[in-house]
Amino acid sequence: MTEPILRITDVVKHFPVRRGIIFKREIGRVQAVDGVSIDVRKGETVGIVGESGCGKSTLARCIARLHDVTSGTIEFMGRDITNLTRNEMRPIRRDMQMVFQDPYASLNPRLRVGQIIGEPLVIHGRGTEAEIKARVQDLLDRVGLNPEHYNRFPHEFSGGQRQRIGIARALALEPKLIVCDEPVSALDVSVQAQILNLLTDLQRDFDLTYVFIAHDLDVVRHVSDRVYVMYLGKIVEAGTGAEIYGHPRHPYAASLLSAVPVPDPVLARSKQRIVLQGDVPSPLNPPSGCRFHPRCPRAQVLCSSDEPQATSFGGEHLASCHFPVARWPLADPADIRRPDPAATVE
Amino acid sequence: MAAEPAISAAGGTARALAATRRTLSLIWSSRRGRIGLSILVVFTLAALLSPVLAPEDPTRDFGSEILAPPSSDHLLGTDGNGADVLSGVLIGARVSMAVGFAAAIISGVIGAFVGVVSGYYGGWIDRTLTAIDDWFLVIPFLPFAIVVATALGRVADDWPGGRVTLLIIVIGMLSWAGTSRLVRSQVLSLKERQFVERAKALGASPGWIVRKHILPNVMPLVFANTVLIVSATILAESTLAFVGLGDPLRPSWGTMLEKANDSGAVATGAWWFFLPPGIGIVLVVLGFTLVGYAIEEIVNPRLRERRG
Repeated sequence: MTEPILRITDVVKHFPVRRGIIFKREIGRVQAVDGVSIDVRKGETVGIVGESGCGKSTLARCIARLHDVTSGTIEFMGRDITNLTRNEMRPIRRDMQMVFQDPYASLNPRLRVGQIIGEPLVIHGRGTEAEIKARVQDLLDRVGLNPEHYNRFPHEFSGGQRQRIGIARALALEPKLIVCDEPVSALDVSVQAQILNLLTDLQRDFDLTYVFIAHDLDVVRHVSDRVYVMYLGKIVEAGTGAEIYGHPRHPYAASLLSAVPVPDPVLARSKQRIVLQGDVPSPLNPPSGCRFHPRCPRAQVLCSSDEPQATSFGGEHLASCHFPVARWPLADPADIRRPDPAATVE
Repeated sequence: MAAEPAISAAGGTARALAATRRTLSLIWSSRRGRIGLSILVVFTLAALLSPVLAPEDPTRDFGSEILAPPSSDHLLGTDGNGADVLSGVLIGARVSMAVGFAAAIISGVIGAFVGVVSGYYGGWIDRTLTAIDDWFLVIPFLPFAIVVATALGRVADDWPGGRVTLLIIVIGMLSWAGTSRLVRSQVLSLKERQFVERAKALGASPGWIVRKHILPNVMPLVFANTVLIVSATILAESTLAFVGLGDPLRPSWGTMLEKANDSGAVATGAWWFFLPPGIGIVLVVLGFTLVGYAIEEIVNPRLRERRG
């Protein structure tokens, strides 16, 4: 097994909520990320899926050190970068870049495309004006844009083209790792496919490693070698794409997968779905025990008191659940219900 | 294709010129902007050319006829000293507008600097600057300006530009608080934008982010606001000059109004003495206000939509 290029161990990110004008006292903490461990190996794509507000983007920002973590460690290329200062981080940022979700907000409207893509090169002092220009035009060509568009402003481009600009910019310093935070969520489906294919091609050509964050299960399956499912700041299930999509063990992962529409009407009719009630609970005051228990159709008393530990299901497949889903696809309602209806949590 | 506007200085100047031309044509496209710009062009030309245009030196050439009504010798009559009012108005335009401009630029620079620093860096820096800002917002302008201008009047006589320089500094220092408040709020919103976060992810220093990402996005706002502030600073100069704090060697419109009042022009109905400088002030203030609103409409797209 290759050495991980990025190793995140027990990362916790809490945002304190303060009140008071002069003497601010802490009245609570938003537990956005709460003890997440992830390994990313060189050359692979690791997908992180979860609902809005589950802490995916916070995790991405912690990896890129845009947030300081509350506790835990982040190791990148064998070096602990958890507590590096901004200046110490600078050389490391060459090897770790980010692609952001919103292709409209992430490009400064007052800069030209050439300046936007060339910015990392200028910041890191790579080459003369002419060299930077040549490099930028090469990058534009590489991501499928016309190098002649060097002098245009972002508003002259479509959403997909803007995301290509964002990708070109992330590639400028020839990074080893790119953290993609919902890179295609803001795009049309047809454009999504183009961008995903571009990312795959670039991965092959430049030997890139991706951390790919998204809420769209199909998108993640399409690009990822391994997948982590997040719920309310915790990883609930992890494994290769085939393992998780083939047989999800955690009821949360199963509910997400059962909600994916099936294009075959006959199959769709016989399909059992786990329909979750309510919303994701507040990360300010997360549920005790297993964080999923208030919404889980299989929850029992144990789930509200004891936090489940990650259990192996063979290979790399891990899930944190006291009562994992036994059968997949779900064939009848009994597959969904709690194993012992007598032991109700109420 | 223009050569490397990304970095080269020549490209920068060419771009600035193009931007100025674009802004001017945008201002011209609204009716307000057209009226305002026309007024300002006329008065600016008059002020710039006043040494050539003015028939006499209003601070030296005193004729024998005082408070004489308009005639072929003196198109706008004479003042209480027998000097030519038309010359006074032309020279006065220069002083009034120079003070207005310079003070507004000082206020714009201080306001932008304080606003950006306070908004971007936050924390105790922000709290300190906001407190200073609050102080400048609440002190009553006129008494404070009168006190400072009086106290430093003698000292300022030896400065280049004399008391006019003093007025510029006093007015400029007292009118930046609103601008900095405006800029600060804009910066607070800008610094949370994704392109700023992205620049941080690239390893950019705070100085780089402020220069490349924050300033270019607040400058149009500062510009619009500064143009509006010129009206206020011109009025402030007139007020201070009217209460006797102007420079007697460099008379502005306010100084003329003061003299008109002192020489009893209002009581005797010598309208040619007090009306021209008064109308000058009103028109120039109107011009700057109209142009300021026109720029604000360009800068703030929400106002543009409202216009339809």
